[in-house]
Amino acid sequence: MKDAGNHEQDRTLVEAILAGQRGAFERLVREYQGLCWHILLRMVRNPEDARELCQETFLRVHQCLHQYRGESALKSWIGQVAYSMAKRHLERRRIPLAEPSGDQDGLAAAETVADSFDLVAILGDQEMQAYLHRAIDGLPPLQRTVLTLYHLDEVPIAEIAHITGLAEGTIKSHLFRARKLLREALEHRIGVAA
Amino acid sequence: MNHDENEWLAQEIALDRERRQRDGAHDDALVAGYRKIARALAEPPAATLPTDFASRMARRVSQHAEIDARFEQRLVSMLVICFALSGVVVAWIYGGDWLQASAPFAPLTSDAAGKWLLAVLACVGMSWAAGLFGRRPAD
Repeated sequence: MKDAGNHEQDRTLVEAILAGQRGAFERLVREYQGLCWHILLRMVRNPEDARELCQETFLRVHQCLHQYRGESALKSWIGQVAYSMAKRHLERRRIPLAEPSGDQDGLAAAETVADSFDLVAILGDQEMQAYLHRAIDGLPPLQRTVLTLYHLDEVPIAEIAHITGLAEGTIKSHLFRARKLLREALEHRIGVAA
Repeated sequence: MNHDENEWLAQEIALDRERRQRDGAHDDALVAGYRKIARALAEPPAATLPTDFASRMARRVSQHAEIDARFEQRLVSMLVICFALSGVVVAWIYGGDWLQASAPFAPLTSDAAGKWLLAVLACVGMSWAAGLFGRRPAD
């Protein structure tokens, strides 16, 4: 019921934009700019490129809005546009989507460390968070994006699957492996620090 | 339940407890570790979009729409002019033949009937042109 209500709101907003109602498109951008920004920044990493792609994304959304049929949430539809823009940008630069970027901080070596460290006690909070942010940056673009959508934007797995065009099982697997890799990297870091 | 399922469960429990800001005193080491990761992942990126991004986008899109509408209007006007010119040329070439062919309908080609016909055509043409050129692109 909630979904149906949301789709109704989505359709109303889209109709207002297509009818040329003043302020309607600005409302749409305000509503979804955060989601697009997170997808694009996580995918391409460079803020300048992400800003440019964000503009292109909303221009594309405006051009193709008449194609929106209300079968999925507008949020997923716009997320899909942002994701495909970022994906094309990475393809043009020959950056692999699901492989590590090469500047990861000890992520591979982390696999040798045991599971049973008390992570909380050993490292200071700030140091640990800074380290984790570097480790997140070292993940492949797809995993960074999936993690951000799930944790920061609180997008459900089914919707992430719709945005990325991947199966739900694949999304779950990326989530699981990326979080495990981060935990292992953290344990490795603690092992080095101790 | 296998090792991976246990770990997935720990990841999800950590995410849920972090979102609900539950006290971490009773978390086991695995969940505690994943809570740190969930906290880092929930932090928005330092780089942001300009605060006026939405209004700038709206302005840009409306400018685009205006340019598109103006271009379309010019294209339509050019097509109409081309069509009218072709009509004049065709009438110039074949007009004589048409007049000869319409000779049997003499009453219709009489002076008075011709004037009325011209007046009607002028009215229709003027209202059509007023509609075409009076249109403004949508905001």
